[in-house]
Amino acid sequence: MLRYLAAILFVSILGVSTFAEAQGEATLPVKSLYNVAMQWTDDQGRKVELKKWQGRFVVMTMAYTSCGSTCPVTIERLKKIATAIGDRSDVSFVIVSFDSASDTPKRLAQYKAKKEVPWDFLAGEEKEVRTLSLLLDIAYEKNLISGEINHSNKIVLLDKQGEIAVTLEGLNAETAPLVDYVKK
Amino acid sequence: MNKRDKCAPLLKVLAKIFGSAVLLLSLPTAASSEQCSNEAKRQNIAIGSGSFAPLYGLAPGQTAFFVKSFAIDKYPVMNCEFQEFVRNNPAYGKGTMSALLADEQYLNTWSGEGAFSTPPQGAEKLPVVRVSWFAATAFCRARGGTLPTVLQWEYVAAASERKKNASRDPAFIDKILAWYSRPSGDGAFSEVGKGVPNAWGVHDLHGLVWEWTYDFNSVFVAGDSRRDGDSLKNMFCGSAALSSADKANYAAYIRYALRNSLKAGYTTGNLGFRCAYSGSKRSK
Repeated sequence: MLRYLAAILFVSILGVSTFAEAQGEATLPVKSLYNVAMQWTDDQGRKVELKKWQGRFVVMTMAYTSCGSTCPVTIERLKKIATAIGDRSDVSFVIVSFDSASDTPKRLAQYKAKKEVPWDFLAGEEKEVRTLSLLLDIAYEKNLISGEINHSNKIVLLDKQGEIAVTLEGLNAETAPLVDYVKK
Repeated sequence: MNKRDKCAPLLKVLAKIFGSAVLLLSLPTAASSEQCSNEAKRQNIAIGSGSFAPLYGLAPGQTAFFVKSFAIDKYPVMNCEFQEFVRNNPAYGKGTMSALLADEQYLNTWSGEGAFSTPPQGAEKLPVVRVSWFAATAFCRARGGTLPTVLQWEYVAAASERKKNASRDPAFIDKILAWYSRPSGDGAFSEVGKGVPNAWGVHDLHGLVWEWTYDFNSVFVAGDSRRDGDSLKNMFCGSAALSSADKANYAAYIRYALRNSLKAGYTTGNLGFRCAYSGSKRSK
């Protein structure tokens, strides 16, 4: 009798734990960037993780506030994308700064106001910036003497689970693939 | 009731024998990789500060960068060290490593899985390869260090056996080029430390494996920008130095071109790494 009870108990525990494990696994896909732990500060000085945007599309790029030539062009392209996508509560725009030394939350907030956009601007330590640049496949280099930052120009769309869905490479890339992906 | 009384002691004995067997079988590997790893941890070299002109990175009007003093591993990281790291960090094991952080060839010559990932027999002191940038970075972080920057790596690697900066010596460059022209692959190389160290006392920067650097994606080679379809001016924010500082250093050009072709999740059969440490960490 005791053996039967023990067997039933064992199978029940096994069943429950398997069920629980399956539920736990139904969170992030393996290739989601939200699996990588990174610490960011937004333009309001709040500590955030990228996972905050899980459940929304994220139009993401990297730039910095004292960037003279290409970043303003990228900002204009993002504005065009926002207009083309239209009013959607499930689409966020997130810009991460290359310049861990100079782009404080205050400076990002000023830049945001100057550009008149409602987007999120993030700053982080150099290690986080380097890691994100590698995950997004964006090249950048900071000159040790002048502080100038050379970088490639990419706009990346993350899907609602944080996986890279579309990449627009270069300033002249057509924005339609990204807009279409969101709108389909 | 009677059956249970007879079975219990027997089961206990069997469990003890089985447990001891498992422990005994794993101990030699555990002990040797831990010993191997501990020996390696004490081996890093102090690198003094200095001026250096790398092949890429200087903007027009700049002649050299100042490299602050730091320390660097004497040898590339060995299989046994990486095995020890994986034992303590099973998420970086074979079969458990995330597909976001490494490609499918990650540790492909190793056996076992997760915490029990094991390098091939006899390969303990070979440089670890088939590891991604993310794996290498995590290893160095666990060691209290980081991957060396491209500048740091090139600075140390500019040394020949006798001269700290031999980056303009044709004989030195030719020697490196001779190695680059030999084919290599998984396992087709020797244990670390078999050759002569350079003037800093560092081994195997040339002649063994390619090595990951912290900011390998900081290299802008002109060919890459053409592929992107943008005019060179549109590619870069800022005044990039697009021509190399010393066109005679073809060996360095090959290294930069290799770096330019990598993505952080890639693994190859002849790409390993070593770690760098800031300021205080020195070998005795």
